[in-house]
Amino acid sequence: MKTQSVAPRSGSPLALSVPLGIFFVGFVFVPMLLLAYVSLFEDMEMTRHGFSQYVKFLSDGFNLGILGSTLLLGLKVSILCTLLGFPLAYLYVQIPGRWQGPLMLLIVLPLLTSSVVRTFAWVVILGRQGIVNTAMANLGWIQEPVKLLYTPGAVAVALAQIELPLMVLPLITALMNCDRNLRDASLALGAGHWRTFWKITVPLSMPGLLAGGLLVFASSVSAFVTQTLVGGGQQIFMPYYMYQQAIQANNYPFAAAIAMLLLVCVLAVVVTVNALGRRNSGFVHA
Amino acid sequence: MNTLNSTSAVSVRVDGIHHRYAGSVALESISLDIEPGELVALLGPSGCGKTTLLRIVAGLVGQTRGTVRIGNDVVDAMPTNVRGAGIVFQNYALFPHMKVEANVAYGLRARGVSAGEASATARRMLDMVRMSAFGNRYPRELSGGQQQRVALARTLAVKPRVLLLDEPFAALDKNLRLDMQIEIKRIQRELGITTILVTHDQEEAMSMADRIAVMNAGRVEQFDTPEVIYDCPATLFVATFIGTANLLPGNLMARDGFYEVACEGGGALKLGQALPFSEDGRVVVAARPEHLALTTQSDITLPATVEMVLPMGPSFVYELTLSDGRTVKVTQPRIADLPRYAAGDRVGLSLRAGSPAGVFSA
Amino acid sequence: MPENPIPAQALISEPDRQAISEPLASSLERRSFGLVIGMLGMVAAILLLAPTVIVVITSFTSGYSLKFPPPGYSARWYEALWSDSPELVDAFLLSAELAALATALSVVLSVAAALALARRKEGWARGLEALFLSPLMLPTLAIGLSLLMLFNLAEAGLSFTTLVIGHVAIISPYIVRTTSANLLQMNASLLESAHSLGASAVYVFRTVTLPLISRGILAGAFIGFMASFDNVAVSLFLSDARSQVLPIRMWQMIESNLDVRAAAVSGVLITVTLIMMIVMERVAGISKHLR
Repeated sequence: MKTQSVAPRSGSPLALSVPLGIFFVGFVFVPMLLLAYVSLFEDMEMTRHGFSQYVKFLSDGFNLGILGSTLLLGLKVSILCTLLGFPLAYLYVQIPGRWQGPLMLLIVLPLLTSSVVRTFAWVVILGRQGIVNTAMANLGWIQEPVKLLYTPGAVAVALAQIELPLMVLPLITALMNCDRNLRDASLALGAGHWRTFWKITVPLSMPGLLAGGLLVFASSVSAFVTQTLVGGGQQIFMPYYMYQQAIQANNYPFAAAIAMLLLVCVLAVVVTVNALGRRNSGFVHA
Repeated sequence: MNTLNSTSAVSVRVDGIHHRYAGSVALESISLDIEPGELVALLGPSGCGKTTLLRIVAGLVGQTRGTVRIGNDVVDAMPTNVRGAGIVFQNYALFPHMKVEANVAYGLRARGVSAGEASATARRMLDMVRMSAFGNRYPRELSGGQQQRVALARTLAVKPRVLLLDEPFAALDKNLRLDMQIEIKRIQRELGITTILVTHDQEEAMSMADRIAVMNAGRVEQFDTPEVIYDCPATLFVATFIGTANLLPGNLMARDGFYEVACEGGGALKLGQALPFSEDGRVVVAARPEHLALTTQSDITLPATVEMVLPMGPSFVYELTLSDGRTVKVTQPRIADLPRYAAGDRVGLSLRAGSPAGVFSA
Repeated sequence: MPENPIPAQALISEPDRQAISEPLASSLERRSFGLVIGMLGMVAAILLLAPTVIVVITSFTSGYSLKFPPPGYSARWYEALWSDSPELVDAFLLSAELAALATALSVVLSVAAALALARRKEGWARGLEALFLSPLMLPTLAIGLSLLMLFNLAEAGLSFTTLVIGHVAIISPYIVRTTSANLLQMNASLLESAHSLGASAVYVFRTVTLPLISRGILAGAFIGFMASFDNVAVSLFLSDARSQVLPIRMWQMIESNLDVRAAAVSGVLITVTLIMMIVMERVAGISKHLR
C-alpha cells in the first residue's frame, strides 16, 4: 500500500490560494495600478504623461470643495452614527436575551436590503408629499411643503440611518467583550452611572467605536447611490464626480485622478485612526 | 495605618430574603444576623445561591422579598453606589486601562476627593497590602495574587461599612492561597471591618471564618462557628458536606440513660445522646472516621471486615465493609498501646466514648 | 438594569431601625442616565425600522404618487409589477442570474483561499489575506472604474462576463472573511485525530473540515449574493446597454418619474430579504458574521 503523504501541519496546501490570488492580481491589483497609471496622463487622449490632473484638481476651489464636502459628509455621518449607535448597542447588551434576537434582526435587516431601496425610502420620507412634510403641515408648522430632499442635511441623515448597523454591530461586539464585573465594580466603589459610562464603558469599548467609525466613514464617503438620489444635482460628491467625468465627459485621466485622490484620503484616515487606536487599546484584551 | 476605626464596625442583617430568578427559586427564607467586625463565610456547593446572596447585600441584585440592613439602616432602597458595601470580585475586575494607583484612587475620585489627596490615600492603601512598588504598573502586568491585593486596596480605600468577597481565592494556585488567606484575615482583624466571604472550599471557610453559614439549594442549613458545625452538624447535608462522615442507617430506640441504634448492616451502636434528632424510628447516623473505634465484636458493635489498612502520617486509615456491603472509614492514631488490625480481620465498630455522632431522621 | 430597589418593611418591634431612601442626587443621576440612553436608543431603533415600514406601506397606495400617508390602499402596484412590467421582471432575473453565478464562482475561489491561509501565522499569509479583504475598504466605484479601464485597454467589450468578473471581485472578500472566521474557530485537534486514524487529506476535508465550515461558507455566500444583487457602483461601469440589473432600473424609475412601482419592487425585495435573513439566521447564525 502506498504511504499517504502527510498533510502539512497547518492544514491545506498553499496552492489552494493561487486561483483567487491570480484572479485578484488580474482583476483588482492590476486595475488599481492601471487607475493610478491613467491618472498620470496630461490629456484626455492619453498621449502625454504628467501630474496635471492632480494639479488641476488640487488648485481648483470647486474641485477642492467637492473633496471637502465629501470628507465632511463622512465625518458628519460618523458623528451621527456614534450618537445614535452607542445607546442602541448599550441597550442591546442590557436587555434580556429573548429580546435580543428580534433586535438583532432589526439591526441587520438594513445591511442586507438593497441600498437603492433604502435610499428610495428616504426619497419617500423627505419628498414634498412625504411623511415629514405631511406631519409638519398637519401640526400647522408650515403652509407649503418644505424642500427637504436635495439638501446637505438630508444626505447626512439618510446616510446615518443607512450606515447605522455598521456602527452598532462592532460596538455590540466590543461591549459584550467587556467584563460585566467592571461596571459593577465601578458602581460598588461609589461612582455614579454617568461617571461609570464615561470613565469605564466608553474607554473600554473604544476599539469597537473606532472600527465602527471607520466602516461608517469609508462607506458613507463612497455611497454613490444615496449621495446622488438624495443629494440631487446641486450637490456633487466625489463618487458622482468620478462617474460623470468617466462616463459622460469621457475624461478618463481626470476621473482616475479623482478616484485615486478619494482612495488616498480614505486610506489616510483609516491608517491614522488605526494607529491612534492601537496606541491606546493594548490593555483592553488583558 | 488603620484607616478604619474598629469601633465603627457595623452589623449586617438579612431578613426573610427570597429571590426568584428566571422562573426558579434562587434563595428561600434567608435570615442571618452578622455581628460587627465578624468574618462570616457563606459556604456551599455551586448553585446554592451564595453568590446571589452576596450580590443582594451589595445591591447589585434586587431581592424579590425581604430586607437587608447594614448597621441600623434598612438599605433596600439604596442602589449599589450609595450603599457603602465594598465588593471584591472573583476575577478582581481591575480597570485594565488604568494604572494600579489610579485603580485604587478610583472610588475616592468618584466621591469628589481631590487628585492629590486621593493619590496619597491610594499609596497608603497600597502600603497596607504591600503593593507599594507597583503603583505605576497596569493590571495586566500583575500576577493573580498581586491583582487581588490591589482589588482589596481599591475596595478598602473608600472605607466601606461592609467588605464582601466573592470566591477571592478560587483563581489562585494552592501555594498562594494559604498566604492570601492569612493576609486577608490579618487585614480584616486589623481594620475590624464586618466581612462576608463566599466560598465553596470548606477548609478555607473553616480556617478563616468566625462563623459559617452552610448553604444548600437556596437555604441556610446551619449558621454557627466552625467547631460546632464540624462536631454538631444540624442536617445530613452539613454532616456530609463538611469533613467526611460515614452514613449508617438504622432504627433508633431510647433506652434507660442512653440510646441504641439497630443498624441495617447488622449489629447496633450505643450513643450517649441522639442529636439533633432523638425520636424513635428510622434514622441515619453520621459518624466521622475519628469518632469510630475498632474492638472485638459484641452485641453493641457493628460487625465489619477490614479491607485495607493505610498508614497516613500519624494515623492509620482503615477501610472496612459491613455485612450489607457498605464501606466505612475509620481513623485511629498510630500509637503503641492501641491494637492494630490487618486486612481480613473481623472486628466490631463502636462509637468512642464521648464522641458526638449526628443522628438525623431518615 | 439589575437594580430593583424595593420599599423598606418597617419592623414594629424595633422603631430605631430606619429605612434609608436613596439620596436625591443619586436618584437624579441614575434616572437621567437611563432616560438619555433609553431615548436615544429608541430613536435609533425607530430610525432603523421606519423607512422600511414606510416604503412597504406606501407600496400599497391606491394613488399614483408617493404621498404618505396614502390616500387609500390597494395591491394594484404589485399587480402592475407582475403583469405590466416585463422590463422589471427581466431586470430581476438578470440580477438573480448574475448574483448566483458570481456567488458560485466566488465560493470556489474564496473557500480554497481561506483554507490555505486562515490558520497560517506567517506575515505574508496575513498580508495576502488582507489583500483578499481589501475590496471591502475601497470605494466600489473606484473598483468599477478601474475594471472598466482594464477592459477598454484589453479591447474586450462589456458583456455579462465582465459584469460577473466585477462582482466576483467585490463579493469574494465576504466569503473569505466568513470562512476564515469559521476555520479559526475549528479545533485543530479534530483534523489531527482524523489524520492519525489514517484518513487521507481529501477524505478528511470531505468528512471533517467541510461540514464544520459549511455554516461559514453559507453565511458568506448569502451576504455575497445580497451584495451582488444590490450592487450599483460596479454594475454601472461594467454593464452594457442590454443587460440592466434591477438596482439600476430602479434608480432610473426613481430619478425620472418617481414611479410608484419602485415602491412595489422595494416591497418585494424587502420581503424576500427578510425571509431569507430569518432562514439564514436559523441555519447559519448569520448575525455573528456581520459583526
